[in-house]
Amino acid sequence: MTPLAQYIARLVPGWAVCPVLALCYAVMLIAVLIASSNDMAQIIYIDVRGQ
Amino acid sequence: MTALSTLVILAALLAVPLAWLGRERGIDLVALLCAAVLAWISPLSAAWIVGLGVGLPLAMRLAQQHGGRAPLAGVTALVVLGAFAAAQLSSGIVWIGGAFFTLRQLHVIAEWWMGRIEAPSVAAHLRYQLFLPALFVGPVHRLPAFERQCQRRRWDLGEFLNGAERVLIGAFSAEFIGNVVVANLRARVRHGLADSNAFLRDWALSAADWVMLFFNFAGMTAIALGIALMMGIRLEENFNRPWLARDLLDFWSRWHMSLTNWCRDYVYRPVVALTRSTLAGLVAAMLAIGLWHEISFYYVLWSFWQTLGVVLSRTIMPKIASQIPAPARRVLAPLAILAWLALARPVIGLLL
Repeated sequence: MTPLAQYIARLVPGWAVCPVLALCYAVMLIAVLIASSNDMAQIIYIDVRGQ
Repeated sequence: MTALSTLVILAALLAVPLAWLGRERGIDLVALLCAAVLAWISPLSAAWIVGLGVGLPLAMRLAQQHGGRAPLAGVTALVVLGAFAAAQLSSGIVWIGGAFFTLRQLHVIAEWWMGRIEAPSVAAHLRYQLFLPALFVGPVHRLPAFERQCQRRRWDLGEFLNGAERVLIGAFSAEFIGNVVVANLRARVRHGLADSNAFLRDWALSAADWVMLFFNFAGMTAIALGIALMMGIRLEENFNRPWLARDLLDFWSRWHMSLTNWCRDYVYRPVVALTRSTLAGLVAAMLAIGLWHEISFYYVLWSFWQTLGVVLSRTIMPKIASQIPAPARRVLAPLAILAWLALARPVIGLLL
């Protein structure tokens, strides 16, 4: 089990672990896809300089 | 996330199947892909990293055979540092991974000079320097540990899934929490404090920037560590819950740990050994950390500010903290740390 699955297993009954985990993954993926369309400022630790 | 960094992350994800094409040669293929990607988006970075990646091990072997270990170590360290400074100070050059490469290169030179490692083979050195997931966001991993990981790695579905999950959580942290949630909160703070004192406004915005930086950088590091884990390689951790730190020194030992550990081993300890002064070691290490971020007078002052914070947190703060109940201390310590870190910008702004 992945760390997130282990965490969810502590909070919900056994039968609900897979659906809740899938829901978490889906929400995160959708949020990343929506957010990554924004043009974000460069942070100093990301060593891609002089663009 | 900038376009180029997104491109490198996608390339690193594409490199995962390559890494499993052969247990022995898989990571060599990842290095080849890394060199190709670098050559495409930043030929200068590729020429520098590959050139030194090939040239240094050969020069080390020659020096081992004919003597001259110390001069070679000294000259190459100066060349690497000079190139790093030149790249930082010149504008208009697309420079990818140079800051992390410099630290890794100096680590190899120092360990070899001290006799702790033999001169690496060209393949091993290139494999180490051109490890795509850690190219531009770290961690500053170490050659001996990396080589051990390369030799011992084996396919494990559980580890692969752990890595994939970490990539997703890292992307969520960097892209959504950092760049959307915290960025929106920051915009509200900016709007809310529009008419207030400029110093207080800058302090509050600086605090918001630190929180955003945490989610961005920890998230990007999680992506790098996750992709490495998908390749069967466990790299050094970079964060250990920095906002649970008890004081500023504790914070710096939990934040960007691979950089802090590097500065401890190659700056702090040698300076303390030479001067017998822990304060001199601390100042030197903080200067190295500051100037690594950016070679500027701002970061020189920033380094002194952080040194002052560490000194205060180990001299005056324990006396104050001892009068505060333990549960309240646990809540107040991270807030005090954030306040001190954020205060650097408005204070230095007044000085400059």
